[in-house]
Amino acid sequence: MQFAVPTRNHRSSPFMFSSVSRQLSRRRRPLYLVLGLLAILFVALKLWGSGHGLMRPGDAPEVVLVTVLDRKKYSEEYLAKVIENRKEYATAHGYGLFIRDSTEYDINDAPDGWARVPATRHAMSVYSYSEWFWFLDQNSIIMNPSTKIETTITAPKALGLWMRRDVPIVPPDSVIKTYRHTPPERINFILTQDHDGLNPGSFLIRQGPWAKFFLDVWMDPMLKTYGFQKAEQMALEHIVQWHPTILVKLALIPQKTINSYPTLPGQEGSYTEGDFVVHFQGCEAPERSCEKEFERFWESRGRALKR
Amino acid sequence: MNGGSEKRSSWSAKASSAVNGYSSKRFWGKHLRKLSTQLPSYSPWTSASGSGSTGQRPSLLHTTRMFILRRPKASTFLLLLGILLVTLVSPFLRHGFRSSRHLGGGHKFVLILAANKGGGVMEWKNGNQWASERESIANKKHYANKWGYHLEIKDMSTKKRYAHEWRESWEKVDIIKQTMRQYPKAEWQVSNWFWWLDLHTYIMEPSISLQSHIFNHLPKVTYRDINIYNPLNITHPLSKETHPYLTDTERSAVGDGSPESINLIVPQDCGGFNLGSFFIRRSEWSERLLDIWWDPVGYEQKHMDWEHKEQDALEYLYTSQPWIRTSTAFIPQRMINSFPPGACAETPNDPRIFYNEKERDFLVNMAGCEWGRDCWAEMSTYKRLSKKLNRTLWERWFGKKK
Repeated sequence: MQFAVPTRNHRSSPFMFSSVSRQLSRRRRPLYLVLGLLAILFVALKLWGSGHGLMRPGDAPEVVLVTVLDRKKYSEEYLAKVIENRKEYATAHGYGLFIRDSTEYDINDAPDGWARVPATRHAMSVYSYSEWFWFLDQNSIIMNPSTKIETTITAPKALGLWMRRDVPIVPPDSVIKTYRHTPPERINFILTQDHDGLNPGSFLIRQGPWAKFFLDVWMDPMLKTYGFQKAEQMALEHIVQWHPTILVKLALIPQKTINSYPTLPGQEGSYTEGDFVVHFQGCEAPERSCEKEFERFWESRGRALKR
Repeated sequence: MNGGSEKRSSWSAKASSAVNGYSSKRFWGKHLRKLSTQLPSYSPWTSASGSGSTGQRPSLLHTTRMFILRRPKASTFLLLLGILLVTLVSPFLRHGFRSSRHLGGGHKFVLILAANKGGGVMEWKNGNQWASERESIANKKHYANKWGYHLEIKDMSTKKRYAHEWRESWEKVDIIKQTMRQYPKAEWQVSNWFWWLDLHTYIMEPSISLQSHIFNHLPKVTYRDINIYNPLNITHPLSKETHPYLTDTERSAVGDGSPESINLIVPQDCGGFNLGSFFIRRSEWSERLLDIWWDPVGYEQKHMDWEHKEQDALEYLYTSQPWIRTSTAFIPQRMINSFPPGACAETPNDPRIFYNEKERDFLVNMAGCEWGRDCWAEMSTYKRLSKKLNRTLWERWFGKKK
């Protein structure tokens, strides 16, 4: 081939540096380009890959409040108040709210209380980026909406102070006791105990593989049909006491933190002003009335500040 | 230290001769030549004091050649000594290589062999039982040794170990838990597979490692969707109608589809899951499974129906608790658990179940040979067959012809 000007090579060039580097770089340029692109691609993939799944979207609530409604036995008016109370609290703190009907879950002929277990698991599927899920029984009122879950209860520092260590699971004297040395960071399940055992009316559970395992075990059909005297509560006591992988993730906290009962003279855990929640445990008994007890507390509840 | 410095100086001699003599056409030589045209006169290998030895020293190759020429007898002797050393040391080297963490990875596998089943209290063993137990153990020992795996032989004899008799013949779960505790050094993240083996099993192809047989291509040899072979007719995947509360991954037929989420690998025979030979990985998941595998409520309700104890319980758990499905994979039975004719009498012609000599199946499980079949006869037949199939070339040409 003929060129107007002869190409420069290292022999004809007057410049020293051209002898080596020009030749090298000219020949290798496409290679460098490809290598550079590959490196950029690699870094980008790495960043994207590690972010994916770990990073949660900015609008994912930290806490999700779960409630299951029983439309068969309760009036719409009553349930509307329940929803209003939950909504007010959740919006004040930017929490997620997950309210479902108990009929949505196929629990066969098991008592209605069981619906709380699949409902909590359902909430985890829907709010897949939220960490803590607070189940609160329908028959309860959030009395002090200024309480912030993630700072006053689930934060390891706070939880470490609340945790009741080395106490029997079923009072007064069951053989199995909560662990003495579990660090609060490793707790996945927080609930309270009343005078006759664990009470699943108000509990907190941390999303993750453990939660799925635990909820699946809790609602195992064999436990549901076993006919425990107090249904899901006894089943819970059963699995907690028989299976150390569950017990080790459980923290019992004082009843008044998330599960006060309406005033019963001389009993621990009775509601006093300023408590977070009042839960009308056992109000379905024939001599009591949930709606009446609810009314008694409804007006005196604290109001959340609007955001 | 001496040898090191000698080697270095000979290397430096070679390198500097290449630099000074412009003789080498290889990369470094070329490059150094270029360097030397640009920079004053600097070479990283020539010492600053300039000892003057460059180019004077004879090369190592030269020295060796001279030694061989001058002392042929001594060099023959040295060569033979070297060969002898290598042959003596190589088995140890190979074992170390295969079990080591970074090279062979054999230490990640633990074989659990259940020996002495039902022995001790229930009955005395007769000669044949002793013999087949011995054969089985020798087979596993040989295999574990060859590939650098750990082997744990566990005593299954019936003892009054529990406060109540409920738990009798559920020891499999307890033994796996105990064995996992025995190997605590293994990190959670590194996969640690425990391979359960019933006593009446025989590894037919000991020359195949578990890595090359299964674990190097887990997604290819296992399947997540039980519908591929589903003798129990388990409903899978779970539907949105019955399980509205699950995530899409949990309702998918193949879970998340990633081999990293597999924690349990189970073969199925004509009657469902078969736990005569299966793998379980050490993980938080398996710790949970082993913990809830036995539950008194389940036991109380089902111990009359659950003829096969843990096996039935696992099938039940798989069916009723979705968290188990997402970490369980199945493996075609003949990969790790071929049956001899006689087992699975209901489906005598199913090619997926029975040992196939031509295709060189990996393992035979003489399942149920205690009931009406002759374990010892089966064991010795398969032992002979395995030997025959795995003859070396030497044995093939010069061995006894039958």
